Amino acid sequence: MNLVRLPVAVGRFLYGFVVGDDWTVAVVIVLALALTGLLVSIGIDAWWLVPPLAVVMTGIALWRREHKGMNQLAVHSQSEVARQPRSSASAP
Amino acid sequence: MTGAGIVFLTTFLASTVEAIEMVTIVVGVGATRSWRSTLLGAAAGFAILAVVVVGLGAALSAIPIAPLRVLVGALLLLFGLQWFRKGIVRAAANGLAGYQSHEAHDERRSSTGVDWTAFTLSFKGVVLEGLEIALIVVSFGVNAGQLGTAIFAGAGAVVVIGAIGLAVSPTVSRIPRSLLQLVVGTMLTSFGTFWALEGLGVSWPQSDLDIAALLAFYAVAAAALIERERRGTSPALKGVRS
Repeated sequence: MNLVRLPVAVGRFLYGFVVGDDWTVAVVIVLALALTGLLVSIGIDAWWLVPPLAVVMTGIALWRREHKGMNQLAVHSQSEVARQPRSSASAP
Repeated sequence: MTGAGIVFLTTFLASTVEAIEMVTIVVGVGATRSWRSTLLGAAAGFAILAVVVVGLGAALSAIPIAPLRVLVGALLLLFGLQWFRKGIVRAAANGLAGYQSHEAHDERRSSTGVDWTAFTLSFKGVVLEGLEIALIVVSFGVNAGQLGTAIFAGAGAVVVIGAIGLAVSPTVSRIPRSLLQLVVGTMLTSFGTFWALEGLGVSWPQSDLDIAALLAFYAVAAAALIERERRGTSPALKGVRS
């Protein structure tokens, strides 16, 4: 691996490691951690903020994934139908 | 019990708590991903730790552990949530026993033959927990004037818990991958949440016991989400996922 590709590979690894396939989860968790820090600094022991939010974001990410999967499935099915010869597509 | 005996017991027990967290991560990641890369990461972590401990000695207590906890905790939480999510999807689609996908083999190794994800997780776990053990050893040892005894106790805790971890690792490796990924994802998420918030200055109501509370909370949430996925997933999509 040359010196130009190395930082790109490291960057891709770090993005995959930290962010993964749904960036919204990472953003919300980072914001929740920042908010927790803020609450702690004003004397509120906000240990209760991140865990439920992590679960809610997981639920939302799963829903988004399923929704996306269904859309892809629909597009795939449509393209399959379009690729079929007219005779077989119209056959009973 | 003598002063040295008390220092030994206190340091050993306090170090054992941290060593359990360290070994749990190493064994969990090793069984789920790649043992070779995980052990390489652990070895690299111990090497860095040795350099830091030898280089700083008693000045080790000056290392700001809170920012390190936030960084490592946040990274573990974010990565753990990815496995948590994947584990839920796979458990919902294929059950807890049946998963052996191509992805599990393809995503592991780079061209260097090292699974960097396993390496990094293991490395971070060893460095953070090892540093905490070193801090416990230095604090107890220096304050009691028994640094040698404290070092012996801290090292003993790591060796004992490490040996137990190695002994149970074949059993852990036999756990179905689908279940293991969900369990390790839940563990990483729990440890990550605990460390990140502790680093931010949060006082957990029951201290280290709240790791178990977090594990229970995320496990119950996973069960609910698996059930929701099972009910919401169409048969066609199940075929796509598996």
